[in-house]
Amino acid sequence: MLDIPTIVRSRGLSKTRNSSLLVLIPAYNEEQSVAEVIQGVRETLPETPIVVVDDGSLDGTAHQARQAGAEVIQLPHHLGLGGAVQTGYKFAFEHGFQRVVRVDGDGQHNAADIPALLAKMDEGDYDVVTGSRYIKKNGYSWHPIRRLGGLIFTAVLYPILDQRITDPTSGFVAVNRRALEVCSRSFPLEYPEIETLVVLKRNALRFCEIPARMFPRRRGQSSIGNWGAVYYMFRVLLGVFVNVIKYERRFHTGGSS
Amino acid sequence: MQRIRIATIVFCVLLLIQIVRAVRREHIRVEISMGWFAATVLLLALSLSDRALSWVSGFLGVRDPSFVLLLVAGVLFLSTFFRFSVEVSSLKEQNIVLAQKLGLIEWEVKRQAAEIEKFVRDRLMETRPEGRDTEGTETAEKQQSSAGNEH
Repeated sequence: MLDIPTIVRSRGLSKTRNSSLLVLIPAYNEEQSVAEVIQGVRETLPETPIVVVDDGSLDGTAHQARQAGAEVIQLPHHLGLGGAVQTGYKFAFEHGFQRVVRVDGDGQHNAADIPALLAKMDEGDYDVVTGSRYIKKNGYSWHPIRRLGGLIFTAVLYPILDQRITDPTSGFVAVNRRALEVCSRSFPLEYPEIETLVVLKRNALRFCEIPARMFPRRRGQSSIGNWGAVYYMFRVLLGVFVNVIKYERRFHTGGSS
Repeated sequence: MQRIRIATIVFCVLLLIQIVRAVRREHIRVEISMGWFAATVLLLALSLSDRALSWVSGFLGVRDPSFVLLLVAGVLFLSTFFRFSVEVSSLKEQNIVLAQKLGLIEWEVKRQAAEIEKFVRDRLMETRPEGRDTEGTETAEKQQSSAGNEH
């Protein structure tokens, strides 16, 4: 007779356990691009496990990701980018991964730059390394409003972080286990990148940037429209302010901040 | 009695009836309705009692008691809304944690189900009737040949 719990225990079902690196792809309605992104990562890191967190997509994102060979965690409803990314971080932390590289599902990031992120992390003992599209010109011209927004955030963050971050909105990030622990415990729900930097600073983690090539979205539309950009600015500035004065809540674990 | 006070009394009575109906039909939870009950009863008491209204207006240094009524109503309802905003935020946070846990557990369950399915399939392949037939035939052939050798 088959003893199912024994099978589950004895066969060590998690293939991913003890692997050191995980590639995390948060995706929301990215059925047209997610497979290409996975393919790109596979070409650079053939043996690395890839997890796609499907943030309640209404299209075939999860199906496409599975077909492309990734593990897919499907959220029951749309949580927002931060909720999806944090789910991936929690997954990685619980499964013992040492490092996670986050690559967006819209195809804007160049998977070929992942080894450079990891090399920089090893070289300087950094907890977080971000790919910046502004350190070197990469041939793609960004909308002036976006660039202006980036400059404002850079100026606002400089006195808080004690270092200059050229691309605070970049979602092309490598984190180590220390940062993973912090991010799986406390992570902003909306537009997480900038607030995360403040959270990391508050937790005395080290971060830096390296130049990275980024492409325009391959397909689909950005979730931030014109009015959305205005909301984004105020929302993120408020979030940064709150994070600066925030009292670290200790009475519960596992929540977003 | 000033019109504003009459209007406030009518509003408070209607609101109380509405709250009681909502609680009875379980459209609103009892603990949530407490804030509304307290705010409405306090406003009703102020509207009905000249003495209480005069005392509050004297305390606040406001000449017109009807203004006090509006002020108290505004403060009470804003406080109630704020309390609900806090509760909604807390519920949202809990919802996020639950949704994330659900996603992670669902992934784990699916993966384990796939592993179990694979294990069962492998076991079935090992113990398939065809396999036994082959073994059985081989055994019969061996027996026959060994019997032939003996002869």
